[in-house]
Amino acid sequence: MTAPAAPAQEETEEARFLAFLSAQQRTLYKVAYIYCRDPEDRRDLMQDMAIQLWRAFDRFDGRSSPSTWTWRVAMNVAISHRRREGRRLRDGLPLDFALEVADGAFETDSVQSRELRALIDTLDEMSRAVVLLHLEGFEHAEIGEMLGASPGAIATRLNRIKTRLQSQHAEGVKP
Amino acid sequence: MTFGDLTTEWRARDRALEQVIARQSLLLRETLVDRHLEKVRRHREMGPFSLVIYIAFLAGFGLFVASNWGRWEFVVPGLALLIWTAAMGALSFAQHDRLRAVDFSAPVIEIQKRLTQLRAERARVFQWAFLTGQILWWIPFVIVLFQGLFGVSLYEVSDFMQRFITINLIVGVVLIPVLLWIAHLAGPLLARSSMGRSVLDSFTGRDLAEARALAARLESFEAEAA
Repeated sequence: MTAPAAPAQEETEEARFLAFLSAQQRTLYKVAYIYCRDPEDRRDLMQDMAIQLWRAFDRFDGRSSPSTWTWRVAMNVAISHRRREGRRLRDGLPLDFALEVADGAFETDSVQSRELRALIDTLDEMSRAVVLLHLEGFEHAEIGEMLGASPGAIATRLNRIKTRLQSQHAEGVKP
Repeated sequence: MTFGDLTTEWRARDRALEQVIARQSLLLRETLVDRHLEKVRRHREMGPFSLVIYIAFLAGFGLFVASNWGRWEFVVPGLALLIWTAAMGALSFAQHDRLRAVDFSAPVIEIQKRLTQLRAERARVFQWAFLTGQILWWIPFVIVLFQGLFGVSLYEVSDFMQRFITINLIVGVVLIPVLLWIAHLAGPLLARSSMGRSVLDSFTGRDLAEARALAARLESFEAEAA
């Protein structure tokens, strides 16, 4: 009797996932940035997202693009994620690009950056998702499809957020 | 300041992020696969350790009840612990399974509603596990432990012990509403520590309140289109 060849096949799926994850790190970072202000919480959330992506990876049937699929999984994890101080996934999945380097590249001290952070801090989970996808250049219909809402609902929500941004700008943002 | 300004800024930051990640990924990719395959594999597996512990407790209580059948002063606490462990374990495993079955790639509102429902169920189970567990895992457990492991009947140790058992059982029952009341009063103080806050949230049903609040926000989001 010879040993079954299953482990080699399994390793291939894992290796495929790691390559996939490597390609999607930017998306995960941006979702984490929108949902977590604290860098440690952000790291924690990114680990949660990576684990959930891995658990769902064998269900990915290619009906949506890998990018859309990742956005959905990442946002679902982010919205349901609860900040747990003291709980850190020390043996997490390989998202070990230096988060501080990414923070350094992504976070700027511009007025726009401060206004965006101030705006995000006032928004609920769903509004954050809408803002993020809008900033990413998705159309209302695409955002609606990802979130499970109509394009009309997305347009209405975006208009409210835009109004809030204008009044926030008028009042002046504290750094 | 308009959304257009924010979008322009966001894209510039995104390009910078893309560059740093690409640079690091080139350096790391070769080592990532080998180093992390084991971790990746581990995260899809169920925790066998908790299953073993669970089965060991069930078997222990089951054996205790069977071997003391007819001696109701031991059967009643043993059976109560057996039922409690079986019920809580079954609920916990069922919830874990349902959570793992959630397809996170489905539309956000649909998934969040499902997760909110699961979270509310988990909070309710935890609350009642805590309130009933503080009775069962004290006096009944000690009675079972002494009789089961050392063959010592705590009922016969002394008259004082019988009174001690009775008083503690009564206190345990009375403690249920008192604990709920204290938790609500002392909430802000306990909430200063992260562990205290986590336990408190589940215990007082604040998890439930949060779950309901999220459900309400999701409903309002859906209602905006109407």
